[in-house]
Amino acid sequence: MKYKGQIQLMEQIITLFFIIIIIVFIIFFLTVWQVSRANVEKNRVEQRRAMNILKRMIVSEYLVKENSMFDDSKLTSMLDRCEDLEKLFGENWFAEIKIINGKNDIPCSPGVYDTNCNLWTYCKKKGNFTSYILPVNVYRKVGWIFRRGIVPKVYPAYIKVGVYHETKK
Amino acid sequence: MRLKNSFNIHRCGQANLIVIIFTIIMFTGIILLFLSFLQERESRDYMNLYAHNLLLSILRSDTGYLDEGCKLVSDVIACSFSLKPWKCGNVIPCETLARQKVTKYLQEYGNLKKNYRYLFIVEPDKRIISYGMKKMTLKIGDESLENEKIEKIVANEKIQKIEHGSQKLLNVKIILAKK
Repeated sequence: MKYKGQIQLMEQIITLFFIIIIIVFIIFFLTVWQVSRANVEKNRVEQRRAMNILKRMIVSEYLVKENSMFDDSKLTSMLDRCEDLEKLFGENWFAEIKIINGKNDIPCSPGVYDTNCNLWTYCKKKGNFTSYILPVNVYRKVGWIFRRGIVPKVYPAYIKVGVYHETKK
Repeated sequence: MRLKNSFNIHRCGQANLIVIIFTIIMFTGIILLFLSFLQERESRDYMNLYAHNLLLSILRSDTGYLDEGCKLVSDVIACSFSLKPWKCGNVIPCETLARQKVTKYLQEYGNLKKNYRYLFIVEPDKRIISYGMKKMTLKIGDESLENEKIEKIVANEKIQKIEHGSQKLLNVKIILAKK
């Protein structure tokens, strides 16, 4: 009976202590959540941009013969024209188009019409990025070479478009 | 009297403990709920585009044979539904070549996106009576996907051929789901 007041006081102190912990925790959690949400939103913006560039590339008449079918001669001619492509699709992105033929990567070179190469790369640089891949085709005018002529060939391929993460300067 | 007071103090302590535990559980629930909003999900829009492009890309690819009716994958698929047996390059029956090529391309694209499951289905269109066509269904890939009740994306295409004055119409679809 003698300690009743003290015990009640202790209880109130402990309860108050827990309430303070919970309030601090809420503040901490809300701050972390806000930061994470901002990062997720930033990622979403980059994803949307990558997707947008991808959708525009697969129909761009500078690169395709018909929707989602890239023309190898157009691809080769645009290889060293990153600046021109950036005017069309914006900056800070890259694109890769690769024929799926089970062979190792043989990069195509600008100005060289090589029917063995299978990889076209545009505007690639070092850095972290968000990317999307899509199945497409590559149309090669010089597909089959016979004595009686040349027959075009359509290859299965993929396009990968990435948007570089923005870094603070 | 002393016993009763001691009992009341104990009960009050237990009540506080229960309130604290309840608060902790509630906050854990709220945290999990908030975190679930932060999870990134691959958009349905992208999966849809992927499925349609995959189907189109497979159908438009070359088979490696140059004889008429065997050049593209869509050609050999149409040829495999023909009642007249035909061998591409006089070597391989249409249906075998169609299965080989579709399986190969699905595997190759599957290596790019390993978190997807694929099922490729071809069947004659029932609205058009096509003479000289096999009544069969060509299924390639993960057949269990057809009856599973999960989130799926379906892309559809049609292959149309006119042979000896009659129309052949095939419905081609690819079903895509996440693993």
